Amino acid sequence: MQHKNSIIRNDIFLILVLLLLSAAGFTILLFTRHAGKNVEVFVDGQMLYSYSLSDTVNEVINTKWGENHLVIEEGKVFILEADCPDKLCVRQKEIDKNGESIVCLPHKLVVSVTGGEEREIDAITK
Amino acid sequence: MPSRSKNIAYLGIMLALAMIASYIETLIPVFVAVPGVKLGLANAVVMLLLYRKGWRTAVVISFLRIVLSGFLFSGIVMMVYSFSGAALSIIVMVLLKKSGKFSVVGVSVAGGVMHNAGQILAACFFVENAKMFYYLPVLIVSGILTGAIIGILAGILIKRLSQF
Amino acid sequence: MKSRKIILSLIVAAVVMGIAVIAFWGYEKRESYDVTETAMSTVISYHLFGINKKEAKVKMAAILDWLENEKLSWRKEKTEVANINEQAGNKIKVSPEMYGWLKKVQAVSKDSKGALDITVSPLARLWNIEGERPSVPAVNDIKECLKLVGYERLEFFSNEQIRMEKGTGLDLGAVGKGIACDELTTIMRECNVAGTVSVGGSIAVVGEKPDGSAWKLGIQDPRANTGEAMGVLTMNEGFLSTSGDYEKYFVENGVRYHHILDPHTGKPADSGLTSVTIAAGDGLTSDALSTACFVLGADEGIKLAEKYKAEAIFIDNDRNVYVTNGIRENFKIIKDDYHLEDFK
Repeated sequence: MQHKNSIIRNDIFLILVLLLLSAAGFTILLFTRHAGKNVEVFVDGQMLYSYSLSDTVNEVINTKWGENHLVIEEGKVFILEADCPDKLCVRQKEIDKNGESIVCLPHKLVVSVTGGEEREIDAITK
Repeated sequence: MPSRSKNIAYLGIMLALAMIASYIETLIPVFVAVPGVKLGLANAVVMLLLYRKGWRTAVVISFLRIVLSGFLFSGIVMMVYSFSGAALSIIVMVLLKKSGKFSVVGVSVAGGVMHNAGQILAACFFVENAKMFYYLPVLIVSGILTGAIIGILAGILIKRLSQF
Repeated sequence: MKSRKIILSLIVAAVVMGIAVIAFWGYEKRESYDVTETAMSTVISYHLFGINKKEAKVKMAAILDWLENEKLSWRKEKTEVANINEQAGNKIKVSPEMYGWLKKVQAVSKDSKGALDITVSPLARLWNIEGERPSVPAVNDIKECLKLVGYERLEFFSNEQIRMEKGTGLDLGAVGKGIACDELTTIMRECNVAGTVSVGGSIAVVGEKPDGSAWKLGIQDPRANTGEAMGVLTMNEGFLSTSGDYEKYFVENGVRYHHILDPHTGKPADSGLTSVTIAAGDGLTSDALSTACFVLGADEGIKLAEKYKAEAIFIDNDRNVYVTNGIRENFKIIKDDYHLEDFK
């Protein structure tokens, strides 16, 4: 019987360890989601760079299709200039809230803010 | 009784049983609305084999089950997911069983959790990026739950079917 | 080990598990999943709530892919629209969904007396406003082009058959985003997901926000940077589309030439409006109406919107804003240089 008890004890120990692992996972999830205010740069669906929103960034992003000059300054993100034909990315409002994005269609470039303050409106028409 | 042909017949029945189990599962609507959460009925058969016929048989039947039910019911992508999950799960179950320190339920729980972890690894590979790891904590919990249920079921099977 | 200890451990385990699941549930339900991507040659923004949001997004992206590559694009070979264009002059059978879309658009074309026209493609290609170096075409070229344009050149028969006259070109650009919105909401409902999805600025709103508040939708300021709203509309379920002169345009000799062409004149619509926003019961209708109303102007536009029980927001060159009664209460101007006026 001693043997059987120790087996049950091991089982319970295993389950408890797994539960702790999962609880740790939940905690990490909850904290990372709100702590990080990141600026993610995607080209053609692939994330190429990730910056903190508090960084100062002044960088030219090279894509297969052309260049976009990305600026992050005092917690705001914008495209300073670009060599795309439509220049719509340059004419986009500065972004700084969770889920906001700047897109350059011709270069398949998406710059998104994740985490941080929630934005006031859910979506905007165009 | 010629043991070779009996063995083959037995394995055929087990494979059929495992496939029926995975088919039944496709009929049950996902009971928790998180992708990847499944009961894993077929794992009860795999555990029975693991305890009665040894790990080689369990691995072979598990592999055949995934390939066949992949082609028949779930599709190639799901097949790759299942494969990744089953591989990880069976390795851990064999090791834990060999250690002799855990009961059927304990082995099954570890197997259930590892099955989910393996699927997430595969999903990370296929779907966009590592963000799939967000699901890991909830899949650990669901793996424990379903693993325990399957473990109890497998325990009964192993006892009842001991004469074969 | 005593059985009491075992039971105690199990209870502790169950409690931990319960808390973990509830925490995750609450977290997953309340947090939005926000992704912006490019698809269908435009910008798609997902803003989704609910436990299946990520799964839903993957399925939604697949639907957009299907729409672009198999149905709507006239630029790609092998789409259904490309096939219809190729078969111009012949009576052909189309898919049930295509038949449904075309019929719906045709109804708006008729009711707007051709202000909305999906056979405007030859004209659009002549102006080539989305191209590299657009310029104003010669008057005679426009005249020639207009001979090929006219919604009545597309005929409907029973059994999902249609015939388009030779030389005519179908271009669903004006309503493609709305069609996409309609298809996407089906998936959102299937996956039990709430949220907004914007297909190039046409927006679908599904379900209830987890905090119980109404959805807040910004109306683009026609004379400011993309992403800057001039007003906010709160709404529950529905579809929202805006057509404006600011999205794609070029300037020649100080005149602004935008991409919404008036099929009657063959030139960019000049109705005194800078943008029209329509809220309707489906995406296709709201897209079709916003284009038609933009071409028609405020006075005719409001009548058309009323006919479809749609709500509308008109903005004119002098930043006067006209809002239909049904949404007047839910609309708030947030920029001082715009002012609300009554319809004449």
